Amino acid sequence: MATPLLMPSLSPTMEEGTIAKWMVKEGDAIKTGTLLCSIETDKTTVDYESLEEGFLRKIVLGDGKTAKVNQLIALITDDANEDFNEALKSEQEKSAALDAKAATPSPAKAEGSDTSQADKAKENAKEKGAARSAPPARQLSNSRPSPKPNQSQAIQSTNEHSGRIFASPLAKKMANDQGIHLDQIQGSGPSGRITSSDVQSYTPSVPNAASPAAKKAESKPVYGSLAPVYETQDIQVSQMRRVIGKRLLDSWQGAPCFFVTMKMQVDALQELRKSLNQHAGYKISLNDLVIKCTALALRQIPQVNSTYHGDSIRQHSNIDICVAVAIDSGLITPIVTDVDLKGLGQISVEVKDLAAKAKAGTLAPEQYQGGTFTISNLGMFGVSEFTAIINPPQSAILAVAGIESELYKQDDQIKEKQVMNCTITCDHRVIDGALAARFMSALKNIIENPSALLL
Amino acid sequence: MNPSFDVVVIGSGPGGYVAAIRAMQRGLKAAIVERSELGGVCLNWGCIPTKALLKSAEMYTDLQEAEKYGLKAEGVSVDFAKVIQRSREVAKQNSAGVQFLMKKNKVQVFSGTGKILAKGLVEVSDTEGKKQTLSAKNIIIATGASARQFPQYPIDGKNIITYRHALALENQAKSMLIIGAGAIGVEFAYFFNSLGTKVHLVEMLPQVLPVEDSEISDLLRKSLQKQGIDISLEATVSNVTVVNDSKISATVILKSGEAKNLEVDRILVAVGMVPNTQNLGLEAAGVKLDARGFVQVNEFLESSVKGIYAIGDCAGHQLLAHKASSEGEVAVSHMVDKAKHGLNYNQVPGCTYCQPQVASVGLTERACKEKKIAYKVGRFPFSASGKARAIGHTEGLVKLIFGEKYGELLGAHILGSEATELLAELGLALKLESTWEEIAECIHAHPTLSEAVMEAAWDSQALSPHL
Repeated sequence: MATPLLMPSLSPTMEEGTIAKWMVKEGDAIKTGTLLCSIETDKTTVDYESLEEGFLRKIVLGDGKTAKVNQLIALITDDANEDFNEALKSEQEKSAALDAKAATPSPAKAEGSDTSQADKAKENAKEKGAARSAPPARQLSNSRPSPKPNQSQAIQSTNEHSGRIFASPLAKKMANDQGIHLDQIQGSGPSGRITSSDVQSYTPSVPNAASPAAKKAESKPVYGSLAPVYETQDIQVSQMRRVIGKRLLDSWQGAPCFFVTMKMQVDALQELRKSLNQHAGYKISLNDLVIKCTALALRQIPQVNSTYHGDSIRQHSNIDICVAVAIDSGLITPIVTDVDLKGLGQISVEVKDLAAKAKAGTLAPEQYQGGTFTISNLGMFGVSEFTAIINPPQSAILAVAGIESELYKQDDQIKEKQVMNCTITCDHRVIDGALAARFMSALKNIIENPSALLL
Repeated sequence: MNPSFDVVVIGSGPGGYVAAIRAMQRGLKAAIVERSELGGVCLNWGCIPTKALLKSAEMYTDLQEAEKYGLKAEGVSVDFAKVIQRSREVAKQNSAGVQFLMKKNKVQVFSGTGKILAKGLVEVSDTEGKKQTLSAKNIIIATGASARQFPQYPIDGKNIITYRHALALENQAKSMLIIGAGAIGVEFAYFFNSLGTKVHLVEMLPQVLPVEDSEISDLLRKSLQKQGIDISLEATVSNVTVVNDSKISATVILKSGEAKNLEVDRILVAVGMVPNTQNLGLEAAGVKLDARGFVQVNEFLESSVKGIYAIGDCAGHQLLAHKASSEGEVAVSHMVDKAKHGLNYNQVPGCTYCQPQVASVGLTERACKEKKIAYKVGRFPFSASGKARAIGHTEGLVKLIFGEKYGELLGAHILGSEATELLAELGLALKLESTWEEIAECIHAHPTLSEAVMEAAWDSQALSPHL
């Protein structure tokens, strides 16, 4: 059987995506969690992991190509040699039909016929101003028609915009109604506040920014033929950026830091993850495992699990690990408490829940204030090695980089292993070099021998 | 060499003195020319002294109702001269306050009558006839307005009077005919009636407070009638004859055509205001006036002559102190760095301080109909408010008008105790283009009269929990 692979909706405002790079090639076997490709959205580049198992047979949308959400990007079959031509044809027709539908001038109608009950309920909720609580769109990507400028989007864009957009309630409702994004409107009120008259007098600068046709034209990459346009933009510093700036500056200037990097082999850990995920209901990520391993290392070297308070160093018996989550407006570090006492399944569920809440902006203060240690993982971006800045008053932070293959020689044979660089940043007022090294080798030992997790 | 200024303001009412202060604050050198007391009509002969009078009337009414609250107040009587005296003292204090503000802000004050000689030149003639010429890069005309007079009601200042005389009467009339039921007429009707004068109030238009929402005006009329005021609407007054010093006869032609003869001690003429734009040298300077004598200005209050602005009553729109002050700010900001917007005259609140008070901002239902705007109304009567019951003022209601499509606030109309203070949040709501949701979802403290505002917003969606 052939399964279509569609352009996922990776953010609530994403209308189309560009394949940055396919990580698999035609004919490759894929499993759940296999990294298929990286996709550039309107905001960032996101790795697209497979939810399916089978064989990638046909890449429809090549590297650098753009498609709307829910358009066909590739085809997966169950068997390696299965014939897929017919399925491909029918899927391509479906995509074309979707495209045509999106281009019809009556978005409301097109929307209405395809929108599921759940989506409708969500739309309603958004209209009531609850756009913030919209969950990440990944799970919804398969059932949603390609988003058009509809009821919910104008409001949403205000929430998603890097800085707050000031607009009167009437202006918001009017913009909503007319499918105009507030961030396209120049406000004339105090401090650039958008008023109803700004919405009324707004004329789109592109022929019609809202029409799918215009979007399409816009997205076509044009090389060399345009005169360069240099535009600088002053983006006002949001409250969150201000806080991040202040805290990290204090940390950087106030704590005498040093860094210890260690390369760790992760074949065993990946093997463990694979076998864990065979149990229905679990989808434990590598990061979940790293969090758990770190907690055990902290248990072994408790001095690292400390906070610095000037006159005293407080060594904590609880291991509460902050996990750095990138959100549109900046960065937040929600806390998984008592990691050493929790099972991997629970850790995984909690991390997902916290990340979703962080993105939706619904974290309760106790979910991000405190913590005894922090992990920042940029592995999904293919980072080879990096250092992080301590989250005070904590005394260390672990920077987890991406997994890379490395060749090594064993018994005169060239072999391959998967390795990952971890770098700890330590506050020397609390942790000395030897201690940091002992912690890192403890961590390495657990990661490379993950059966220790069972103990 | 003439003393020279960036701005010379003629008239020191709430438009003029605020403009002068704002000019100094924005780095302009400002002078103000005033022929009478600093503060203009508002402080000396209008807003403030009338509020002082009305306070006396309210207290007197409350004391008469003391028993309702379980109190005994016996032998309470009116010392009319003292009532007037207190009002004059309040006015004087306010005028002194403006004097202080002028000094504090280093605004140079010229006492005398100002006249524009030409663009950029203002002549000040003091009471002794001495003349002085000021050079002014910009001139702001803020000369206000005066009571309109009709030949059939010859004002003598004693028997036939205007608001100005009414503020300094030596004795209280036993009976009084008030011509005109605008804010001035209604406030004086309430005042004199409360103190025991038999008041006849005659209005040419079909409602008291003709600019207000009809529903509110009708309720107010009923309330004033209940208080004992004789009100005739769509009626006119003729044959005004002063029989002797304390007796005037007049004929009221009622709506039905019937003529009713009245004998009163005094007549108060409150039939509107005319702009003070004569003898200012405006014609010679080329400043254009409209048919009714108001200075023609653009949205930034600049007249047909660049560098000559007009604000407040002499520039038309609502003849209200707060409108004048706001216009002063716009005019100065336009001189300094070109104001972005003029005022939105639909957002000027209007208040009448009789009891129950009337306060409104934005469109009336009538205006919505005329403009063909689809709307929804939310109401909340004070009779359903716990606080109103506790303080014994259950008369009146909050009425809010919202656009049907987007639910934006279009107009707010309040009748009741403290209505004029309750209006403030609705002015802000209108300015911020709020919809019913922001007003309804804003948590209002309990128990307050202001809860009625929130309830009325909910009621526009039939969601008021207390109705």
